[in-house]
Amino acid sequence: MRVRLEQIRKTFGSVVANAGVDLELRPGEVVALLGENAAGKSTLMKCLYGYVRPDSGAFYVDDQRVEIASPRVARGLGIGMVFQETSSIGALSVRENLALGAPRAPFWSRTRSRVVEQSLEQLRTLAPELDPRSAARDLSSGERQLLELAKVLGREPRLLILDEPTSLLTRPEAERLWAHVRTMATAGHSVVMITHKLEDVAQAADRVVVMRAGQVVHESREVCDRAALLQAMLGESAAAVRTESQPKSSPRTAAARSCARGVSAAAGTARIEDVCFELRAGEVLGIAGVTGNGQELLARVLAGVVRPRSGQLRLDDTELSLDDPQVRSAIAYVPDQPRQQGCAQDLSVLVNLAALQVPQWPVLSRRRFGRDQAAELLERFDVRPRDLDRPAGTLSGGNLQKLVVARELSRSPRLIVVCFPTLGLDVRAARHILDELLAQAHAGAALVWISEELDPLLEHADQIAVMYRGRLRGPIAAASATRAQIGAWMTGVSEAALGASA
Amino acid sequence: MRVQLTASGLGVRAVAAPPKQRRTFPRLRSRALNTSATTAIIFAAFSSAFFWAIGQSPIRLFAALYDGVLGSGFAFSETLVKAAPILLCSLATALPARVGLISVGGEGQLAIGAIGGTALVLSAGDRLGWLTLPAMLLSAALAGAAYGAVPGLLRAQLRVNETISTLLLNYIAAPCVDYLVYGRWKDPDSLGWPSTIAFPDAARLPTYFDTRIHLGLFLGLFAVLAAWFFATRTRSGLILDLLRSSPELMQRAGVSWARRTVVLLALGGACAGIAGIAEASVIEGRLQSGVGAGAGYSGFLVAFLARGRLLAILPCAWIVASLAAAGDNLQLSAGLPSSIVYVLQGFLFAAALIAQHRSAEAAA
Amino acid sequence: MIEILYGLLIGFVPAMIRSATPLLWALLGETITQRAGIINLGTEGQMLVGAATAFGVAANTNNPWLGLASGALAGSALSIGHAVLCLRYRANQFASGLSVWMIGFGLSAYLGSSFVGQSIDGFAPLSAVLGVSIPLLGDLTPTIVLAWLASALIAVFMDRTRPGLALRATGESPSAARTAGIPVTFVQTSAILAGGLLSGIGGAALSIDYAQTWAEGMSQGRGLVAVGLVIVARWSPLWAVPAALLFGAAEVMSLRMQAAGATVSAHLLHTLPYVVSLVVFM
Repeated sequence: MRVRLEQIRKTFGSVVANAGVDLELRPGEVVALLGENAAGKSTLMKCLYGYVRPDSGAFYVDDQRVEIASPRVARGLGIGMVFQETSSIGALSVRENLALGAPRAPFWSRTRSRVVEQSLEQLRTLAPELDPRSAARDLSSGERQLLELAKVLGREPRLLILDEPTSLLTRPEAERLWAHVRTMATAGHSVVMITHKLEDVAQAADRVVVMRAGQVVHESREVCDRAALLQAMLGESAAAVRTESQPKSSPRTAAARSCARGVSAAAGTARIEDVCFELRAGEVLGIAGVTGNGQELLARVLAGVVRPRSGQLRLDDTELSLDDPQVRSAIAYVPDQPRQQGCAQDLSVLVNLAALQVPQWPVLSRRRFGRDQAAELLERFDVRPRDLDRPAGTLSGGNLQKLVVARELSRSPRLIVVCFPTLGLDVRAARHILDELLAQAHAGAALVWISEELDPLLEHADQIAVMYRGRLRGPIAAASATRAQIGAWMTGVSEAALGASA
Repeated sequence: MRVQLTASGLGVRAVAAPPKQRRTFPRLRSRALNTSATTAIIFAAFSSAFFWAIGQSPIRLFAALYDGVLGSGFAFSETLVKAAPILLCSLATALPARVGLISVGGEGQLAIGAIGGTALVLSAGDRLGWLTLPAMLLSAALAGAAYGAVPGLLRAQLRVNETISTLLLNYIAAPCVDYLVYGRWKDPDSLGWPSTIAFPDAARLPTYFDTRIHLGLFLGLFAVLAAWFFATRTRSGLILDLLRSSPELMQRAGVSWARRTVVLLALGGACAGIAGIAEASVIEGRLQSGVGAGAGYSGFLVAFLARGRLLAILPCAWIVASLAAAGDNLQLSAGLPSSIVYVLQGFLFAAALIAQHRSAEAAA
Repeated sequence: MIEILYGLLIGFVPAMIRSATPLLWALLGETITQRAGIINLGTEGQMLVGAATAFGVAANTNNPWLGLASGALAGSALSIGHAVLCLRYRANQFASGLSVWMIGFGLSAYLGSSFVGQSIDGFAPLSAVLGVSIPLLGDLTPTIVLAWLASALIAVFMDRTRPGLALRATGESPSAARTAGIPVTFVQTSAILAGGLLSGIGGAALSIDYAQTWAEGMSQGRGLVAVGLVIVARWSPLWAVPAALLFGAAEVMSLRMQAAGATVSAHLLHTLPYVVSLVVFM
């Protein structure tokens, strides 16, 4: 089955996810779709799978134009997609989970059906030690991902799309997956692997297509040429707008302001292991990395929301503990999901701005306390509309972000932890927030800045590190960091391998 | 507030929408009226259909309802008498709701409070003189508070869902009353329907205006107003709002959700406890089985009708009490069993739930 | 003393089984409902309308089977209210259940008002039907046997059939179930109605078989206990049987102690099932 995508365009609001992409998929071929966060790879494949409707463009299957209106239509065409998020039900057994998606089987038998048997067969190849009677919640996250894969494989798709297939797999599991993918290709199927890891590309792909900022920027059959791939992925630094960023002039004290030693934590499926860094007052630590590698959890641990399982966190010689409000009041935290985690949506903007200080208010204070300071904050951070009394939940995403930043920075913190602070903001607003953050750093705060974009970090940070699979690579001094090295960290390639393939 | 129980090992996942819709938009004042009007219309529709189905004329029955509530001075005062325990018990639900907890424990806390108050009366006898009354009220409040603290601790420390635990505790409290009333506290002269000895005069709450309106009503009014003031005009009230809306934020501010959970449930229990002893002391004049007779669940209904707005509890309690009072009238005028009033209460509840959903939909 | 003990023991097991049966029916119904992810506090009301309707029909037609069937239908009809409120109007499940309970309570009082205090013959026990006297189990009536049968059938249904799988999937994770193509709302509605049906039968068993009379509020909280006991029985229709028997045992003991003169502790015994539920819940 030959599949062709022609000039696929998709925008979400003001963000252009796919800017006219052409792609051809041939039978018997494994194509790796490589790129950073927000390069547009997932969106493109979701369009192909019918999960998302593109704004314009066409799909051709065996040179016939097709309309893919929904995943069901896609499945009917023989296209299958395995998503990153697993939708298995923990309490049910593996077998039952496979049966859930399978088409109608006789009433009395819960799992006897050809599709289920096939899925089980595939699962046996991918994960031989897995007992189909075990409950899905007892599986490791890697095994759950393989379960998802087996579900889709059971329907024998002719074109298989895998979204970040090895993100949760152990090495042996990943090797089995690659072998399986190659077997499928040999059998005449097409496979598309969406990935940000170079090893996936090298091990399993026949052809690699690199996307950046919604467009295809590189395509070749040289799947092992890591240097070229990294260059294509990260590009030359986009002409950085030279801004009025404060020059780093203030001498730093030798003592560390914030440091972490061997911090490990777990929450849900996220994990961080053995994180170490040391920041002096006024320094900026930029943490890059593809989302989902543990950055969000790290931010929560640093902010004092999640208790670390082990390790030590210090702020100016005091050990940070979850139960010490005084120390914690010196930490500012902008979460990755401010609407859900950082604001009280049905309470007013005024209350939200003062939320962390409310326990210190006088007992009989009316809710209009502190209006002047609040109004000033709105002005300073350009939060619109300038209405202190409206519920915070009615603000747009960008303004809500600004509100949260305003609240956090208004307390003269000694440590600032921000997680994707400029996500969803237009250029001017992003610039503004950046200036505020850097001003605070200039005034002596330590800033831990987790970002989805590399360029701002390279420009402003003093130290750079990368979160990869829960571990912190680095930090190293930003001045001596190279794009190649950071790219390598982000994609899981070791230094030696990088040097060897150059 | 989602009920996070999940089946087979961890609980049952209930698809629960937030029971109290918090609104701070000024223009929502008209929306509140809108919802009330919708509730009234749906209630009227349900009740009329029901009356018609049982072969009664809806109009005659609505007239009887009116009569039972506003037909005479006595009817009016009796409605207020019925409203008193409902008012107090509604706080047993409304106070914990400030942090998003759903408690139905008013019924059990009322019974335990009645036990506490009676214990004091029976042991003190005549010795305390005028102190009997305040002491009785205090012990009822403390007993109710203790019984309210239990589900609070279970929730805070063991994460036991408070709705289920308060429900089960209700069913534990009622037989406790029976145990005492049939047993060691039994008045030897009460043969047919066991109860304690009649309360001495010093232990009877004063009544006013030549009616049965008693101190409990005013205590209830005071409690609601105090709660309202506390919730809307003080720092602690604001903290509670923040806790309900964004627990993570308050965690960073060092606010303890666990402590407030227990305190609010205990305070609610204290109010219900006072309702219990008031019923025993004034209305029944003794402690007997079935004290309070459903005021706890009516209180829960009132708290839901009021949608978390404490001042709205006052009219809502009166409305629910009116239904109960009218039920008596229906019995007299139409020969219907007095329990028919539960059908009307249920209709009112269902109507409120439907109206609340429609108004939430309209806002979205 | 020996006489008291002897009096206590003789016929205890059958009495315990008989006392447990109405609750068992309600337990089975609520198990299905909760397995779909819905809590129905209206079970108490459903039992009561089932009891009142069944008694009325059985008394008028002299056919306990018709009574049983009508009780089932009545319980089911009332449960529609809970389904509509929860699923269509997205009401809080506890609130919705309580409103259905209130309506059911009042409705049953009205329906049963004309037969308060009457009594009927109910079902003939097993030994009478077979014409042979069987020790211990001879007093079993159809409602009891059917309840056990239902327990086994429901267990098989849930664990070994596709609809059962759909039910469990819906309760565990409605979103995942929806992704798998399961019509979640339909499954939940069916589960609620099935719960209503079974608790209606439980109420019918109560009025026609166990007590053979009608009194207002005669289920005395069994429906509410069922909601909690389902969790204690780990949502398993098989474990529902011992859970119901525990409750039955406590009740029979308390009744017998009352009859034997030890009235006092009887009431405390009455709290036993609820205390156990609470403790196990922790």
